[in-house]
Amino acid sequence: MADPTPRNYLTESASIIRNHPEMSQSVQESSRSFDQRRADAYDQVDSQAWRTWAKAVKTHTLSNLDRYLEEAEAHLIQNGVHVHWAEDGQEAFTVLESVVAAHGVKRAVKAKSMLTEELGLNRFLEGLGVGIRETDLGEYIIQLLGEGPSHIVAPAIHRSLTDCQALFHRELGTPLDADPDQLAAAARAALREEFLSADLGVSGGNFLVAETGTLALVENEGNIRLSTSLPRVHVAFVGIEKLIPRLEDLSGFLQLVARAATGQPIGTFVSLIQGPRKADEPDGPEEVHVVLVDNGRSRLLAEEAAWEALRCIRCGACLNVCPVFRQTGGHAYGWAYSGPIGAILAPGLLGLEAAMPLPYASTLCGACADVCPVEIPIPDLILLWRERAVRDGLVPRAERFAMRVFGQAAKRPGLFSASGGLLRKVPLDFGSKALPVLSAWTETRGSLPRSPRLFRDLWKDGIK
Amino acid sequence: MSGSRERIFRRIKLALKDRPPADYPGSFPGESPLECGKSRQEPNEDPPRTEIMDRFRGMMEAAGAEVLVFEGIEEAGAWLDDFTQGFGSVAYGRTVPEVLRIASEKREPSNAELGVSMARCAVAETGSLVMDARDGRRNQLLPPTQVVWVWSEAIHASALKFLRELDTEPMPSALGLHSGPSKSADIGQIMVRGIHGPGRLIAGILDWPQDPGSG
Ligand code: SF4
Repeated sequence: MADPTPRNYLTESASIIRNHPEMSQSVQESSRSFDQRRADAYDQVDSQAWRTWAKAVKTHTLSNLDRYLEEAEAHLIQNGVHVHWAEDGQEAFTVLESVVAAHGVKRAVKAKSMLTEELGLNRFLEGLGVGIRETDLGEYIIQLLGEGPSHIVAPAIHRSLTDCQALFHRELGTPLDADPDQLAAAARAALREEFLSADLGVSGGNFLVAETGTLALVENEGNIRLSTSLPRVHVAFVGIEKLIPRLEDLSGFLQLVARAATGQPIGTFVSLIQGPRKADEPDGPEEVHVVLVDNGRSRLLAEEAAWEALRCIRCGACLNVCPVFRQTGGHAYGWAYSGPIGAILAPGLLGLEAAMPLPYASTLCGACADVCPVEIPIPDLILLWRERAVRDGLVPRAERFAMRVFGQAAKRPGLFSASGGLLRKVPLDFGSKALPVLSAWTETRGSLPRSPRLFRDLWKDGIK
Repeated sequence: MSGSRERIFRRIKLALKDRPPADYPGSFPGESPLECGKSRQEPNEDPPRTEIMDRFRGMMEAAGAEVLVFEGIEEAGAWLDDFTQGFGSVAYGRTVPEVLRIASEKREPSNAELGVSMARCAVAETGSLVMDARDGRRNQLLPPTQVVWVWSEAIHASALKFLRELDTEPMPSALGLHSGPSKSADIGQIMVRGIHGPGRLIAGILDWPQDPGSG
C-alpha cells in the first residue's frame, strides 16, 4: 500500500464518500455528538472569556518562545529529566534509538500522541525490532487494522461497533456478537499484559510548564498514566509549541481542552510529570527523557499570520464542526492532522507544495474559528495559504482566477456575503473546475443539486 | 544534539526578531462559584466547606464515581471492613493511614481485586482526586476497583488554588488527577468503563479534623 499523502486528497475523499458510506456515516454521527457536547460544555461557562484568555496566554508564550524553552529546559534538567532537541523526525528517532540500545528495550507501550503520528515513530521502532503496542483503545483498534488515526481525539471515529466486533473476533477470539463491554474487557486483558512487560513507555505531551518543567498529559482511559508509570523508561516527544508559562495556567487549559474536545469538565486522568521516580516512591520510571521536537515549527513561527496555527491545543473541535471533514473523516487528508487544523498546519510544517490541496478542503463557513478554544482564525489562514498557492503557481489557471476573486472578496465581509450569493449562480460545471473538492465529487457522483440558500445561513439555522 | 538546539533557537530568535512580545493576560478568569482567586495577589475567601464538599461530590458523581462521607475513624473503618468482604484481595497505597487498612488478604497491585489509596488532596471545581506518586502509582491504577481516601480539609475549591499551592512545595515525580472511573467511547462511540484504569472509583471523604498521628 502506498504511503498516505495529501496529494491524493481529492481521489481519497471521493472514494470514501462513494465506496464507504458507512465510514462517512460513523464520522458524521460521532462528530455531531462530540460537537453537541462541546456546545453544551461551552454554555456552562463563560467560554468566550476562557478562550480569550487561552489565546492570550499562548500568543504571549509563542512570542517569547526562546525564553520559555530555556526556562523549561532548565527546570526539566533540575528535575532529573534528560532533555533532547530534535530538528526533525530523523533526529527524534536517533534519540529513541540510543535509549532503546542503552536499556536493551524489547517491548514498548505507547500512549496516543499526534506528534509521534506526525513523525511516523511506530514504523521506526518496529524497524529496530522493538514490539510497540498502541494502548489507547482507539489507537489499538486502528493499529490492529493497519490504519492511521482518523481524528485527533477519536482515532477510530470512522469504525462502527460491527467493525470492532469483527476485528476483535479475529484478533482476540471474542464472539462475533460480543457487546462493547466484552470487547473492552478483552482489550483490557490483552493490553494489561503489554503494560506489565514493557521496558519503555512512549508518550506525547499536551502542555509543558516552563516555570516547573512539568509535563501535563490528558486522557480518559488511564493508559497514559500506565504507560508513563509502569515501564522503567519513559520517553516523551513534545512539540516546541506546547509550552505554557506557569503551573497555574494549567487550571484554565486543562478545563478548556476537555470542554472543547469531549464536553467534559476535565479529562478523567491528568498526569503531571516532574521526572523519574524519587527515593521515597515505590514505583515509577527510573529514567525520563523529553525530546523537544521542532519539525517545521520554528519555520512556521516565522510566517506572518500563519504562525497562529501554533496556538493549537489539539482538541479536535474544529474537525467535529467542519462540514468537509464530516464527509470523509481524517484518512482522506493523507497526513496525521486532518480537518481545518490540518489544512493550516500542513502547509506550515510540510511546505505548501507537499500540503496541496489541503488548504482547499474547506467551505470557509467559519464554524471552526467559532469553536476553537484558542481562537485561531482558521478560515483567514486557509485563505492566506490559498493565496500563496495561487502566487506560487501551485493551482491551475481557472482556479487561480477564481481563488483570487474569492480571496479578495472573503477579506471584506460585505463583499464576501455578496460573492457567496453570486457563487451559487455560477454553473456548477465551472464551479467544479474551480473548486477541486467539487470536481472530485462530480467525477464520481454527477452534478450536485444547488442549495436554494447560502451555506452560511443554513449553518446559522443549525442544518444537520 | 546540541547543534540542533542551537539551530532551533537561532530560527526562533530570527522568527521573533521583529514581532513585539505579546503581554501575559494574568490568571485564568475561571468563573465557577467556587473560584477562589481572581488575581495572584488577592485571592478571595474560600467558600464554606459544605459548598466545597457539595461541589466535589456533584462533579465526581456526574463523572460516574461514588462518593461517601465519613465523620469518624470507626465509621470509615467499619465501612471498609464490610466493603472488602466482596473482594478476594486488596492492595494498599503506601500513605494510607494504618487505621484505614483492613487485614484482608493483601496482594501486589497487579493482581489485587481492590486498591485502597490515599489522595494527597482534591479539587472541587473539577471533581478531581489528586494522587501522589509517593502513595504508589501501580496501586492507584491497576486494581479494577479503587477506594480513595481524602481528607475533607484537603479539598481545594478550585484548580487554580490547588496549583498555586502546589507551586510552593517540593513535587513528587508525578501527580495524577483522577476525576472518575476509566472510560472510553472508542468502540463504536459507545461508552465503556474500566478500559485500563479502575472501572469503579469510590471517594471516601474523611470529614473530621485531621490528627497528625492518623496520617
Ligand atoms: S485549531 Fe483550535 S479547534 Fe482545531 S484542534 Fe486546534 S485548538 Fe482545537
